[in-house]
Amino acid sequence: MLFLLLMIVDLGRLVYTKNALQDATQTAVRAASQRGGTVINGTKVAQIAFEQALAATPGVNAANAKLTSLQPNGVCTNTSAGRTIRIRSQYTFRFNTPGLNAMLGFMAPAGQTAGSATTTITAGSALRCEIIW
Amino acid sequence: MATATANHTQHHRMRRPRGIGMVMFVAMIPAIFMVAALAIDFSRILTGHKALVQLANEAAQSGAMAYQTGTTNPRLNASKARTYATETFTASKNIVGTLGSAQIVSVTPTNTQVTVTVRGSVKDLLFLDIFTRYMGLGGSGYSGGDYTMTVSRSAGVCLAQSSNQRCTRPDVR
Repeated sequence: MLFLLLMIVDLGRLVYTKNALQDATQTAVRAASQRGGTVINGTKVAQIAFEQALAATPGVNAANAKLTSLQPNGVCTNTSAGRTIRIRSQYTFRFNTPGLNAMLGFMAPAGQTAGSATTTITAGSALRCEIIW
Repeated sequence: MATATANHTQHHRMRRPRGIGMVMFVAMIPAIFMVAALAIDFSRILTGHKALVQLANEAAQSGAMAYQTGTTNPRLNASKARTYATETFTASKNIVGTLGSAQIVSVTPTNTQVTVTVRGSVKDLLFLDIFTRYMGLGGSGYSGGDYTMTVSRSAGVCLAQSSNQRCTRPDVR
């Protein structure tokens, strides 16, 4: 019964973390859109905004999060691929109750070994570039 | 005095029906499983709603970038606003995930604002399906294991633009 209650707590943490990751990714996309690219003159605009957003979120370990895909990986251009910024991110989430979560299929198989106590949460966001170079 | 109190307590304990603890335990197991099951489905609905709000927000924000050129005051080009909103919605939908399905219901541009309404559903809510079938707990938007939600979000055109149609908001450096 205690494990079941812990699993419910885990679910709450999972949803909270997923939403925090989604918010941080959206923040990164907005910053990149307003500045006209994800990396401008060597400044990692999206990465900085993403890290700042996560650091300001209590209960989330920013070290477990990373941006996995930036498109365009530079400034916005007037092409079909360059006009819209698409950013994907992921977070390695550690469960308190790995056994029950594995049993219920909550463990993500991608990149994880069987019986692992973690799962990978992903988030993504897209927005049209406000400035096109 | 202490002996009398102990005897009194023992007397009360003896009057409790035997096995009541076991009955309570057995009765609580389904209740706790029900709470756990609902927590799973509710989590999925919350996450799905969040994703839908994000899709609507991003589509509206992109639509609001369709500045009308050649006008004194910043205003929106309605046709371009619809195109921008739809393009971004398609791009977002492919990477946001979470939802079983999502589509644009309407894109309504005015001179200075775009409102995007989107509809999406969370599929195969098995636990909630059991509750709604047998306990009549289904809310509006719920049908056959899927929960459908509709969300509207608006975004306004940037009213402070430079001569090259770029937004000159103070937060954009």
